Order: sequence, then structure tokens, then C-alpha cells
Amino acid sequence: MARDRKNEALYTRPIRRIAVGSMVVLLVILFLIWRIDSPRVERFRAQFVDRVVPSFDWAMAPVTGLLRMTDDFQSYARIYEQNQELRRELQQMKAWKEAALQLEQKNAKLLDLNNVQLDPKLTYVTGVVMADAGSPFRQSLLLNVGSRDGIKDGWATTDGLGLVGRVSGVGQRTARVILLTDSNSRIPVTLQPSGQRALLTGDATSLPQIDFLESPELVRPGDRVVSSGDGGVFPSGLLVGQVVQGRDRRMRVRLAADYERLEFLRVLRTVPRVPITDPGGLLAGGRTLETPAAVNEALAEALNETAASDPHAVEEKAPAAGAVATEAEAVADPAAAGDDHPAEGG
Amino acid sequence: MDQSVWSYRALYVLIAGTLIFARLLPLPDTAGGIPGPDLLFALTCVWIVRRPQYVPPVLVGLVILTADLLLMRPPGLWAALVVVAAEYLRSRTRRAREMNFALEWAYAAVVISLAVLAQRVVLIVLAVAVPRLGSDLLFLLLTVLSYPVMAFLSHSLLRVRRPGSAETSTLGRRI
Repeated sequence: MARDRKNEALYTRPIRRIAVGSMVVLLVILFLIWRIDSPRVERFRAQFVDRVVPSFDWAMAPVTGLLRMTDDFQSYARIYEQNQELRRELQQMKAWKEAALQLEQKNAKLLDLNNVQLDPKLTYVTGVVMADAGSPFRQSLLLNVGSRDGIKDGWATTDGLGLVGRVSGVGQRTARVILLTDSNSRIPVTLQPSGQRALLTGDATSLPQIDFLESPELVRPGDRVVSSGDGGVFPSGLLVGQVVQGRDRRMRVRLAADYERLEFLRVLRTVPRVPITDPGGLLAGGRTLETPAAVNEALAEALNETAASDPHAVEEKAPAAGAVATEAEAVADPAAAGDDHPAEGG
Repeated sequence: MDQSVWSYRALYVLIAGTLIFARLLPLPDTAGGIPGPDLLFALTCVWIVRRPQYVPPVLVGLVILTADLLLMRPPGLWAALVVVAAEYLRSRTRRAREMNFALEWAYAAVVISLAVLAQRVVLIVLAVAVPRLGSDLLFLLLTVLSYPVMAFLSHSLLRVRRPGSAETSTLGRRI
């Protein structure tokens, strides 16, 4: 019996060792691939989550329902205090409402004076939060909208009031939202009264910190923080939160979005800005005409004008104008040749 | 192969699925809160010390990799570390059989600490963003503390116990 055992051990142990070793190596390779080519593995992860998590839905519904019920019951238990609290808040809100109405009127007047066009293309898709994987590593949520609803990577999400995060990883039916508190989250923001630009950096605490602030002495706790739209990824002017000072004397942001209960999120459709690659179109109204087409057009216009104002002068002016045109073309050609290169480069 | 071994393997997968599912639920845990203990790791260690044949390394690797993917951890690293840690514990089970529980717990605590430390070192070396040291230590502490709980539950509810000296497998060998 003992011999049997020894024999078996003799044969199976090396095979077993090789199997375990190769599995560990495979796992480490997967990790390294993730480190080197993160987007590809994250896409795989998104597909995996897409396949697995919706099939949990039937089990999640009763649990979330139960949680909501206990929440409701707890609030029922202290209904009196809540009532008092609500009355107080209502009183305050009335004051705020008055202020808001006045501000709205004022704002409307000012907008009218400035003739401002607000971006009409900012629409949104609303999704339900399916799961959140809160860990020291990642602060992210899973939404039940995905690429079939037109969601794209990088779009901003809000809970209706404040910015919540950005879409990072889109599956067919699900999308992952990286919260502002995630340690990978960097959002360009503007601090409201002082108008300074800064970067909001998540560090896995509930209060993300403000980085790259030019003059911190101009910032006070309580200042409003809105997204600045620098970098072209985020729409500008979305409310993020308020500045607070952490215990470590650093400037941090108390987020306006209610992170405790994220149920529905709005994913803002962000229409990418039209990139400006051709400088000629912007400068055409100024002193130089750089493209041959613009030169020809301008000359033709001038010709028409002279023709309209003085029909007799046409015979005299036409050859001269033609000469000018050919001369202009000759001058413009090298300029055009030089002009083509940056356009190709861009 | 024994029927009960396979049913216990299935049970392991089921428990792992439940634990992952519980972590995925939109529970009211806010950012910067307490990182939950890795119950799955503790459970794996407990079972390996008690009945190594219930948790073959390939099963452990696949289960923890699934957890990695679903819980948004760096995929593969934690799975590899857990497999290595589990294999180390497995190679010591014959010695662990004579140990009392306190010693076994200490053993597991050392292995868990080394795994967490190794993970942190690898992440720092490869310049991946790591959680604060405090939250990692808290995670380690909670995982170590969850070990006796898991051991008790496995012992009393799931009847995963150390084989007695007289117990034999179907082929008549000592386990």
C-alpha cells in the first residue's frame, strides 16, 4: 500500500507541478498583458462582465428590493424627526427658491443681452445602476445601457444634479462608469468665483482632491467646482461639487452627486467638437489670402463689382485684371504648396 | 473519483459565486469605506488545510480569476498569488494535520500577509495605482480575522473536516 502510494506520487507529482506552474505562468502573463495593453484586456473584461452580470439580474432584484425596503422602514421609524427636518429644510428652500427665481430672471436678461447660444446637442441616455464593484482598487459602477444604446467611451454621467464619473468600457448591453473617486479618475475643472483651472484627482477616498492649482490662496472652502471642458472630452459647466479643506490641509471636493444612493444615471451624449485643421479659413477675412481658390474668388468678386458699377470699363480693365489674376496665381502657387504640408501632417 | 469530492467542488464554486455576487450588489458602501475581507481566499485556505482534494489548483485559479475580472481588480495577479499561496499550504497539509488551530491560523496569516505584500510590491514595481497602505493593512487584518469564522462555518455547517486517522478513500488508502 505504501509502495503504491509512493509510485503514484512519483508519477503524478511532476505532472501536477507542471500543470500548476503553467497555470500560474498563464495568469501572470495575463496580468502583464493587462499592464502592457490595458485597453484590449479591459475590452475582454467588459465582454465578460456583459455576459455574466445581466444573468445575475433575477437574483439581484429581490436583494436590492429588500435593501430598499429596510431603508424605507428605517426612515418610517424616525418619521417624526424627518418631518421636523423637512419643515426646516422647506423653510430654507423657500428662501432659496426666491433667490433662484430672481437669479433666473437676471440670467435670462443677461443671456438675452449677450445673445448666447446654448449647446442644443446635449441630450442624455438614462441607465439603471446594475452593480458596483467598490474596492480599494476601483470605484466603478455598471450601467444597463451599452453600445446598442449608442453609449461611447469617455462620455460623462451625472445623477441629475452633479457629475458622477465617465464611461470607461462599453459592452453590448452594459457600460462601466469610473467614478470621480477612483484613483484613475482625472477631470479638468474650474473653481467658480476665482475662475481657476485645476485637475480633480480621485484617490479612493470619498473626497477627491484638487491638483495643479495655480494660486491656492484664491480658493476658499465652499467655492463651487464645475467641469471646465478642457481637453474636449467633457462638456463644460457641469456641477461637480464644493471645495472643502481636508484634515491634511489639502483642497478637496465634496461631490454634489449623492454617491450613497446612485440608482439612475444620465449618460450625456457628447458630440465631439469639429477639429480645426485649416488655418486659412480663419484668416481669410484678414490681410492675407493664402489659398489660390480664395485669391481667385476675391478677384472674381472684384471684377463683378467693377463690371456692375462701370460697364464701359470692362474692356479696359479685363486684360489688366486677367494679368493680375495670373500673377496672383503664380505668387499663390508656392504658398499653396507650402500650405499643403501642415494640413497633411495634421 | 469519489462522488462526495465532486459535490464539494461544486459547492466550492457555488459559494465562490455567492461571495462574488454579494460583492457586486449595489449595497450602500461608499468610497473610502472599509475594504471587505477576501472571504474567498480565507475559505480556500481553510479547505486546503482540511481537505486539499476538494479544491484543486485549477479550480482555485479559475474561480479567483473570475473574481478578478468581475471585481475590477488587475486580472490574473491576485489569482496567481492565491494559487501559489494555496499550493504552498497544500504542501504543508501533512504537517498541518498535527497542528492545533492556533498554529494553523498563524500559518495561514503568514501566507495571506505574504500574498498581500507580494501583490502590493508587484503593483508598485509595475507602476499601477495602489490603494493606500492603511486600507491594504485593514484588508489584510480583516481577511486574517475572517479565517477562523470561515473555519468554523466550514466545520460545523459544511462538514469540511480534517480526515480522521482511520478514514480511508474508496480505494482503501489513507487520506
